[in-house]
Amino acid sequence: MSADGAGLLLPVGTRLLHIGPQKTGTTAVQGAFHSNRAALAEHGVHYAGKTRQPRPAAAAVVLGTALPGFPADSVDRWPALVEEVRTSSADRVVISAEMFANAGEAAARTVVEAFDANRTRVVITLRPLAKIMPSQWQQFIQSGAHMSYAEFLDAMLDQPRDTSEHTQAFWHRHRHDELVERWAGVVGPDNVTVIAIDDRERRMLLDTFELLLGLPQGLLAYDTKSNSSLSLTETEVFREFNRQFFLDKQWPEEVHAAAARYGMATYLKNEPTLACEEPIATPAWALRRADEIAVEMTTAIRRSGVHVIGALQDLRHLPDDAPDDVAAIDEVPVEVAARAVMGVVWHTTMARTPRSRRPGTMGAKAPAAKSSKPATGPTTDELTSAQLVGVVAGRARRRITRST
Amino acid sequence: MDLLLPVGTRLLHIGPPKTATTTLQSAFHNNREALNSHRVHYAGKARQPMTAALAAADGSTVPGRSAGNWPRLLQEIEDADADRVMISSEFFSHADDEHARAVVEALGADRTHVVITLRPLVKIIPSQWQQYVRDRMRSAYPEWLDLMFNHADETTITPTFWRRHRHDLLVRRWAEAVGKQNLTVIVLDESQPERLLNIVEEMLGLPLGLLVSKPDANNRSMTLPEVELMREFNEQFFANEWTSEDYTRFIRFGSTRRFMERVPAADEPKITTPQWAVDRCIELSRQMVTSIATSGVRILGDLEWLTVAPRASAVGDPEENPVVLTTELAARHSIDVIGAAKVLSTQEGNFPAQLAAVKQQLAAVKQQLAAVKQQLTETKRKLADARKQLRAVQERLQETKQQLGDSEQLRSEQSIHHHTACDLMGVVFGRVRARLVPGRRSRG
Repeated sequence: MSADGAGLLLPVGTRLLHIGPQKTGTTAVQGAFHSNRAALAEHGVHYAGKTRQPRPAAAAVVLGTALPGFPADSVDRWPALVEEVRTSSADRVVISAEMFANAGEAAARTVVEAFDANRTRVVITLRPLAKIMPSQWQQFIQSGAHMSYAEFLDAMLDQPRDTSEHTQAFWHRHRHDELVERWAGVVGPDNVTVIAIDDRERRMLLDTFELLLGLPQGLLAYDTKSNSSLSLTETEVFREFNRQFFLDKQWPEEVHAAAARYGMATYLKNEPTLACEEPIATPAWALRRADEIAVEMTTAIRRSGVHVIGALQDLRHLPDDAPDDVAAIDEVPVEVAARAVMGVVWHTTMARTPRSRRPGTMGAKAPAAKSSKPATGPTTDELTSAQLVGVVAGRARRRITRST
Repeated sequence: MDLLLPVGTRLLHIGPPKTATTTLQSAFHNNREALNSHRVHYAGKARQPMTAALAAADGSTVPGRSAGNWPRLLQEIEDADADRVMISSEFFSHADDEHARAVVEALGADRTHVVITLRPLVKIIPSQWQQYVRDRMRSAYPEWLDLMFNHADETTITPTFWRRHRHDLLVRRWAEAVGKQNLTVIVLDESQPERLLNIVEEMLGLPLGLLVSKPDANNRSMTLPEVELMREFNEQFFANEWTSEDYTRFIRFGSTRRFMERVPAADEPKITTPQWAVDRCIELSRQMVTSIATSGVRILGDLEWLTVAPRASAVGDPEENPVVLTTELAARHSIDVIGAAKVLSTQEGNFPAQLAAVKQQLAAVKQQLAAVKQQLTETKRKLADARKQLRAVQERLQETKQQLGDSEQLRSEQSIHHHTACDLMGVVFGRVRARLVPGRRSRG
């Protein structure tokens, strides 16, 4: 495959299925597609789904269940997505969800067959394993884990893959050679494209998608949302929070999901990083081990016969200024701690504050609502029983008035 | 010295804040039954009648709480079946001359005795600052000290501070209101914490040792990292346009109360007061002590103790470096917010139960709606039937009219026939007549 982009254009009728995996710039790519739908349509490209990414639909076919926090009938979004793709009159359709990378072989086959194996091109975006590791660790912490980064690295790099749920999930997504092989086995190597991302080229990923889809250069643009990572300082507060939450208090998972993942994490990510915050730095031994794995993976991918865009050697990352150990965080600036409290307050007690005084509605610096479930009106728990009955009575009244 | 007050006395303890008021109040609040059996009534329902005291002292309210009902508290005191009544709230210390007089008059000038408890100002000051931060203040300690000592007339921050803590003026104000013979100043001795309780027991005629104080986590002062976390949080909270009402509800009387149950490590830094402020405190304390000593009120304890220098460890400029927290402390208040929110939701009705109730109501409304719809459909159907019937009736009417018309025509035709019949009859009659008179024809 030539590097200048000639010959990258996929045939008319292609369904481009982007499966991630996680932590490879998926949020940014999805945002670029989602926020440019009209321009895409003008150029014969349809971006499947109504939201940034059809995560509940992908979860339905990959996990066979509804995502936590979504209604049980959200599993119906999978057949709806398939139907949307089938009936699209666009020249090319793009489906993007990193949840697909979690699929086992059988689920992968179901997915590809649903989109029509003859016209599906699977696109896998890859970044260096060494860069994915810190990012994936803080993501696990946001989801409630409380292992330290050192423990995480030990589990991932020095323990058998079936050691825990975390190691299994991690390697299912990030043993990139096996991921490529799994999908190539289903759809054929000629129908798999690997994009080795060059982090130094900010637009590389968007430029590549434009070439694949026959879009004018520069049409895709990043939107404001990025799934940025927490700093080590923030992650350590979060980790201690998880310890107190699950070990000391033994409170339920769903309270954590609401208050911590959507409250605290969102709030922290929206605040500017402070100069005194530490980044998550991977120690030298782990970088070396990750590089060994990266070499194995790139060698296997090169041999697999799939299309490769970008340079596979970019997936190696071995900086020479790595620390010997994971930095120990004993002290946290008050600002970060106060932000954590604020994030929880913002989410936990929001229900009891008049809407007009909510952060974000007064133009104050406030986290933009960016959970995967954007609220368009008050939810049940934001209203008192009396208010809810009032709403229902109002509706009933209107219904009765209308029908008479 | 016999301290026992006459039967009928109302003993009014006005603090000021940070002078072991919580200890005293919880000793009364937690021993109400024993007090009753010794004919002492402790006014109010809670540990202290905060909102009523504020209403009486300066008419202020606590954000998010309803205004206190001072007349109701007075009525309760009036109705008390007791020899002596104890009223204690440090918020009475907010009163100016006029309000102090009004409070005394309302309680009965001839039967009120005022108690003022005092501690060294230099010890009160850091404690008072962290208390203000717990009630949403954002000023840093050095900044606040500068405002209080050098710009008190110009600032709007903590206007109650000197009202509470110019102890000489406080004593003179209340002595003026109640009479100096009816005011007792108790200088607290930290080495003998039970002494205060014993003095009050004696004043009220209670057996020695009846009042027992329960330790209360919320009564401790915050450590420096704790208070700095609160202060930064307050900054962010109000930058988010939240209100004082929200703060009182969720934070001050919510998460902060839980946060205070935390047990800080022994080496966690304490708040230290800069030397210049310590010097100003001691200088002022000397003035205040002289003034109180000559005021003519009864003084229990050694006033000189109010002017002693603090321990060296309590003195010092705040660190140049920003305060840092352990991760344990950094995460702790977030946990307490959730804890408080869970408590709030139980207080205000368990959420799942609430949801179930709403669902039930919703189902009932839906059922009603369905019933109404059904009625509506039925009514519509009946209406349609009625219309149909009406139409049928109209049709029949039309038909009848038609028939009627027909029959009229028929009758008219018949009448024509009839007439014709008559004619015919006439003819027939004529013929018969002709038959009956044949001769005429033959002849003719």
